[in-house]
Amino acid sequence: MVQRNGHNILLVDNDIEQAPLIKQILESSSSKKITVFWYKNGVAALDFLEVKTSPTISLVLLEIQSTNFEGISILKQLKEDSSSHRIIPIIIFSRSRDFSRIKHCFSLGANSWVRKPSDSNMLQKTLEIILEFWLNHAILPSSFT
Amino acid sequence: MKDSERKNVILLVEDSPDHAFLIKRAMLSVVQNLEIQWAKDGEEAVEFVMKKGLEPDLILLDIKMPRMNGFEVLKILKSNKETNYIPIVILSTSANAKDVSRAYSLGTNCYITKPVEIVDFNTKLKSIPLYWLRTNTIP
Repeated sequence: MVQRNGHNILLVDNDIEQAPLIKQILESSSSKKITVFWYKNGVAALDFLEVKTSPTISLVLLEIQSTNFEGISILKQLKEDSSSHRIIPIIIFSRSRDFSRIKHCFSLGANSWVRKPSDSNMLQKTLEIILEFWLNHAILPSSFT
Repeated sequence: MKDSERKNVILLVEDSPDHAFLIKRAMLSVVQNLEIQWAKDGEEAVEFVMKKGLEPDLILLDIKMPRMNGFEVLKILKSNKETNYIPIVILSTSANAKDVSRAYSLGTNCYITKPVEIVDFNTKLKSIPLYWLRTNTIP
């Protein structure tokens, strides 16, 4: 269940050096209580969402440039017509600069694509912008859960 | 790849001339090199994109409009292979849970409500081009 004034974010990223930092920044950069569920493996992330007792997820941050799973297939599965998770906004947060991939991901239903900086200061700033926009300006489907 | 120096184009789909004026003024005040095309209803918006070949960087879409509403526009543009990659942000007075859920289900990239207070209205509107044209990568 989503916490009052709080949000649960699903982070799918197999970068074991940067992902913990992303989790830490997300959980400490908003006036709202944020809990990040981090999965290195996309299949495990999908399994997590399928568990009936899973918390309501407000946003998914998905790195598609990973080696142990295909991020695009995760996006496809979550955004297909029959998926009960279709309405959860998915932000592709990736180092990839492949322009054809960006357009392809939007076509598959990605809600946004934000380039992931490697510099930690820029990473912090970018994540703060994402939180400010999606949690303070946008209306999320999870707001009504 | 799109040239970062080129002019960004937003298609604003809004039947209220007063709202259209306020939206344009707020967004043009924060982003340079921005062109805002205005469609007065859904039918005109679909015509701009499907017939006239307009390829906006972002579509800002109201829901309640004459002739063709925002949900119908969403359905048409997001189910067409030629147009489904274009980011669409719903900008509506409705904060109804069913409208929000339906819009996300039809593929809106984001849903934003129009605040009643002018200060909040401006803050929210300014955040839209800053996020979608500067932080988000345009497809």
